[in-house]
Amino acid sequence: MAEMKPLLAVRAVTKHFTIRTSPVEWLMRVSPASLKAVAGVSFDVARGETLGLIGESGCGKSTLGRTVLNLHRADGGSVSFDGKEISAMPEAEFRPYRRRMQIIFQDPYASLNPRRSVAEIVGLPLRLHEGASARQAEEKAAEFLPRVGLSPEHLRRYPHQFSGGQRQRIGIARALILNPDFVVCDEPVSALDVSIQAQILELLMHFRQRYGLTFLFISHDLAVVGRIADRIAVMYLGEIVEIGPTAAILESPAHPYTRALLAVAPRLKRRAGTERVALKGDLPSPLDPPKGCRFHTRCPLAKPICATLAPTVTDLGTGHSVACHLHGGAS
Amino acid sequence: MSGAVAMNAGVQSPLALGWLRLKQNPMAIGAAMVTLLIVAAAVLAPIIAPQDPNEADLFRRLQPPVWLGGEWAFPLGCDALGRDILSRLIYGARISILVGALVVLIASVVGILAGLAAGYLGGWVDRVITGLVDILLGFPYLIFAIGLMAMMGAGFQNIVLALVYKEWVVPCRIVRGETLAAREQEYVEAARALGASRGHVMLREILPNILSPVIVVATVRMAHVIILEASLSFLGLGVQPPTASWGSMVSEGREFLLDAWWVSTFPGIAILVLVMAINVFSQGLRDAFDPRMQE
Repeated sequence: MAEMKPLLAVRAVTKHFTIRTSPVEWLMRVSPASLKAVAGVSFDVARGETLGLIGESGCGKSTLGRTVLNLHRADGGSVSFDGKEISAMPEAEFRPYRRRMQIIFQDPYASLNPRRSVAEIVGLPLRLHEGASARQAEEKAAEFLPRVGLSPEHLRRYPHQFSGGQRQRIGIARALILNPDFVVCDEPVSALDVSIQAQILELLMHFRQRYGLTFLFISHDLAVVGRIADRIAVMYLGEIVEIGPTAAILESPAHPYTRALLAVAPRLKRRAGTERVALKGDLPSPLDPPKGCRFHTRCPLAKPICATLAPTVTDLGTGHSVACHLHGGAS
Repeated sequence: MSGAVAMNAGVQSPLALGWLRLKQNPMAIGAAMVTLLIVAAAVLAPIIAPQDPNEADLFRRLQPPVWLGGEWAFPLGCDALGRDILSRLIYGARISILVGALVVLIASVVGILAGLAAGYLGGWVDRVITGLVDILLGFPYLIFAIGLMAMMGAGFQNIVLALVYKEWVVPCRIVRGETLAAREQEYVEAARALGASRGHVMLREILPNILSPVIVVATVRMAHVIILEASLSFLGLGVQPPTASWGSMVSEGREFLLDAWWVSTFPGIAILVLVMAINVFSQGLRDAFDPRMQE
């Protein structure tokens, strides 16, 4: 698969948000702070592959997902989709790509317009991209609903009449009705009960297999990502610290942060020799990230060099690479 | 009570739920009926008015109401020119209601569009619109209207215009605030991810969600505008004589307040009843459609 041209190529993408200063701060000459949500991230996603993106809340993974879809514009670097650079495209030129790149949201309550019926919500993509009339869109939506486990009778109902799991199915129908190539799943199951989570994951995997979908699957739950992803990227404070095949990440994590994440993930049998080290402290503020390796303030294995020099990426073979001074010859 | 309504499985849209809640509020229904009665009287004025409102007859000058020795043909008495007060009240309702409805309607359309643009597009559009709103808010309403009327001259069209110039600020501020909150919602992002245009997002995704507070406030403002029109007419800056308007009728009776109280009092009561009915109704609307704003 590695020889194939990637469907999505992300290169050194950065995204910062400027924090507005209040008039008082402006008078005091406080310069506006810049929040680097995504600080130079690169990765590929091959056609048909699912890349899991994992990290704590606030590490920039959702921002990255939205930047890839041009919902936020990248401030630096480039995003290429199917060989075309899309991050600098004007919106009008990018619009045809929107039907090929979709997103499934985390919160099934906030992501459906409470004033629109299911027919309108699921039919909207058809109306926008295929010029379908309201009736045509509704007919197609009626055909599609059974595939996500809903029935055509639900068409006339409004979001508030559904459970969380059903709402997420509506969101999935909206994202998939145009048969996109690439879907960002932004924590699609983390707002749901565990029993429902499995159903929704099942549904997503079914679609992936049937239609050859490519997923960028964002989650903070290793168990969920471990089930669905072919490869996993671990993100910390706006940077990818480790990326590799799912088995490699889960069996032989190289970065201390990944190890810590694995250690706190609940599992039935603890492997011999793994120690349960919980991370101390909170995620440092992305407004003022630590110098050197961004993880050194919380790293149990930090060396003096970690506080001064940012680590480079070391290739560990078989597509597994890590950004850490413990690996490679940078000591 | 409203909880039981919300559970009703037969009802679907949020709008239908609000309508059900409204129907269970007797005060609001009563107020709506009073308002409708006055509107009906205004519409049917030529049919139901007992006399020609502009027919003067000095022999009937300041004739008292029927229970104070007047005659049944002029049940609420006559004014200083001997015109029938009841008929003038009925015709005067047309001015009050038409001005109130027109001003609020135009102001709402302008205010909604401006507020959506300011809140959703942001940037310089927002700065220009917000700046204009802040400037207009700096003027006292009545002084502003009096000044404009003095410049433009009295007359029906000019009253509507003068009031709209300032009235659009009210829906605009509400819509801007609501839009700022709504644009961060994921359903807006979802529509953008699907490739929806900015117009679609503003008018089809955001607007339906922020319409309830706008409608509620529009009804309250209608009562306010009716009072302003009456004030302008009272000051002689409204519709010109002999056209009857409640404000000018109060003004005309002022000189005879001690000898012929009925000339001023009945139009005054009419203003009071209409404004109160609209206010009570809008309270009911708010409870039914915008539960967030309840205490």
